[in-house]
Amino acid sequence: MMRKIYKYTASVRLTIFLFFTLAATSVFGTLVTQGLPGEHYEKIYGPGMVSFLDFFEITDMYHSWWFMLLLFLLAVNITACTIRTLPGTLRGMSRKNRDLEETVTRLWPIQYVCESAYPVETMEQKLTLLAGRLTGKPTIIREGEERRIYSEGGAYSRLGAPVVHISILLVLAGGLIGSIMGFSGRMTIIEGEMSSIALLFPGDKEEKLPFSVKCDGFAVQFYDNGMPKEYRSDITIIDEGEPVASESIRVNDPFTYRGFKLCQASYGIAEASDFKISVTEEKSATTSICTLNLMKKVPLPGSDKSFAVARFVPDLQGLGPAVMAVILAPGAPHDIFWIPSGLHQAQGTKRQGYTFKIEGFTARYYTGLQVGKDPGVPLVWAGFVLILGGFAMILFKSHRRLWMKITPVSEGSRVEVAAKTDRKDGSSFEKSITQKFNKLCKYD
Amino acid sequence: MIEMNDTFLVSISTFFYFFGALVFFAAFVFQKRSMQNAAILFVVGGFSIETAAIIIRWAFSYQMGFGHAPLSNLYESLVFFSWSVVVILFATWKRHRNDIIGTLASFFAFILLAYASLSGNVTTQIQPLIPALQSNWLISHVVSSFLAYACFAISFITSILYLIRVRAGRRIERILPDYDVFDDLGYRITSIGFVLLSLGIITGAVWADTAWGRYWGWDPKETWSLITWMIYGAYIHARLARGWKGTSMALISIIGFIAVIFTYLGVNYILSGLHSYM
Repeated sequence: MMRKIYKYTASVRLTIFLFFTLAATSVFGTLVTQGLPGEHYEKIYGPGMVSFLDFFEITDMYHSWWFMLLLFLLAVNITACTIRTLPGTLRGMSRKNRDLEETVTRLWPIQYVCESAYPVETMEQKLTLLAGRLTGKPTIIREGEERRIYSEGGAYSRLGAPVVHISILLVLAGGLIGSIMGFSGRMTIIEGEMSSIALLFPGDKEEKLPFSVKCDGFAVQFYDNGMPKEYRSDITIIDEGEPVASESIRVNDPFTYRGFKLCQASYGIAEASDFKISVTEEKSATTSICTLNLMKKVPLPGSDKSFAVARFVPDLQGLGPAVMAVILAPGAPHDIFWIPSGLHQAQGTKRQGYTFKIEGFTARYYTGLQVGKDPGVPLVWAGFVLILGGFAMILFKSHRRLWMKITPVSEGSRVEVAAKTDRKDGSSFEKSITQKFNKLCKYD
Repeated sequence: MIEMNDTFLVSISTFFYFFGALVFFAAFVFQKRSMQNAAILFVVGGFSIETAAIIIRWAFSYQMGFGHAPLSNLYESLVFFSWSVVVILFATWKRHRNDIIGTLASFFAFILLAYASLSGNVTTQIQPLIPALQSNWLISHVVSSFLAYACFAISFITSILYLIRVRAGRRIERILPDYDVFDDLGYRITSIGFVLLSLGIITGAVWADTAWGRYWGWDPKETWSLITWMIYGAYIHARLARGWKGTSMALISIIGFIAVIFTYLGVNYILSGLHSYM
């Protein structure tokens, strides 16, 4: 029974099963948005479905117990497979230069026989050189007149697969360490202010960093066509009351302090003031620019009405920053409307015979920094490098073995060649062997 | 006069690939070597023009003051995808001068380019790089990913051909080569694609660590690339360790390619995530 379990644990059948199961279940997590607050799911899926989602933890699926279990099984499977196969591979590699039974070499896929006018000794010299060039350092066995030359090369390419497998274990281990000992959260800091609090993902637990981050300023630059060019936060790290570092953080250009990596993640407008709004009276086509602050009404030019800015939103349904404006007229209800300021609002907002356009405002930004610490990263990086190294060993090298027997014949020598390579495509090895021997041997 | 720019060159190479596919098909039906040579000439022509277009576009972006490799939006990725498919077709051509693979591969390159040029929701403009894409990892990540996709596309083609050959059996014995050819070629190309996909995922993870502060975050694009990786991982293990051949391998390859397409386009059109710019 235990044997059976071990056999299955160390089987590639289990690997294939786990690959397919992980692939199939991973799909769900991409269909159901992950990590939203609970009430969102209730709204989208209804209460019945939500209890189902909750039971299988599909709303945070990749950290659920059963997904972790699958990953754990994969790690166990890889470990067991490596334990099963690696000793044999290593043994095969250490038994390098030896005399092989002809019954073994007869079975190798590449076979070649020819006769040559060269005597055995000359042939032995030539073939020793050739074996060295085609594979590796040869072993020569002399038995009476007979010579056997065995050589192999690229044996270490057989370690490629175990290297890849062990590196995947390293990556999984690094991921585990990161999820236990690491943390990832978000800091929101208004320009000129300071914070040491990060909100953790997922959920919104607070974590206090051992230092503070002050946002000296935030700037966003745009290209001529309006696409964003750069988001930059100028920050100062304050450790034990002392400013210790001042840095600019941009997207793709993070800053690491005491193992905490700070990345530019988002930004927004914390508050706005001094709205410059151009007001064009359509009849007379006269434009005047009014400077407003929240809830301070100003007279509307050329009328007895006045207007005011009641509210500012940093983003109105994707249209960009907008203000909610109010026109106040004696004896009439307040007329409330939005003036968006985005790029697509060049023509302005028309209302009561006027066109309103936001020309500018003074904004105070906040920056959203992603802050994280992941002690597992070095392990993951090592795993990545080794995975690629293992692949390179498999792709660019192949284990090649060459066995040759020289026997004397009446006018020279007879050569029997057997060769084998683990490259599925042995044809290039075979071709070079055939070419070399055709040159050496003459049939005339 | 028509302006000579990169998108115009791309439309010319679209036609070359189309005629390449057509002549390949004729060569396949009539079993004529001369037609095969003409077809490959068309594809080589289209490929040269497309390469020129990519280089010109690259140079243009520098003239516009924000130079970057043309791998930054849907249009550019479609062009590079078709270019990669033709590269892989050439790579197989050395060993397998197969007209029907040539037909389908150049037709696929044609479809990609036609979609890039004609679809209304693909902008052909050269755009500057948004902050998230301003990284040295852009080229290695995109090139390895799309070469991998191209390998899987060719493997998809050989798998379909394998299934047709097996189903139709004797009736098309004369025109389609032995099915082992498709099975074998599909496996080789998939192995190369698997290594390239691994490279694409790894470069992506390292990039994500500097851009988003974590190397893996189960973003839909990341997850789907891993789904694809696991399907082809199963494919390779099924062959190497369990000796699977034929129909089951062809089916995995087809499922794998559906995952590839979903990783490439579906994630952007259907799901939302950090990769939504492309």
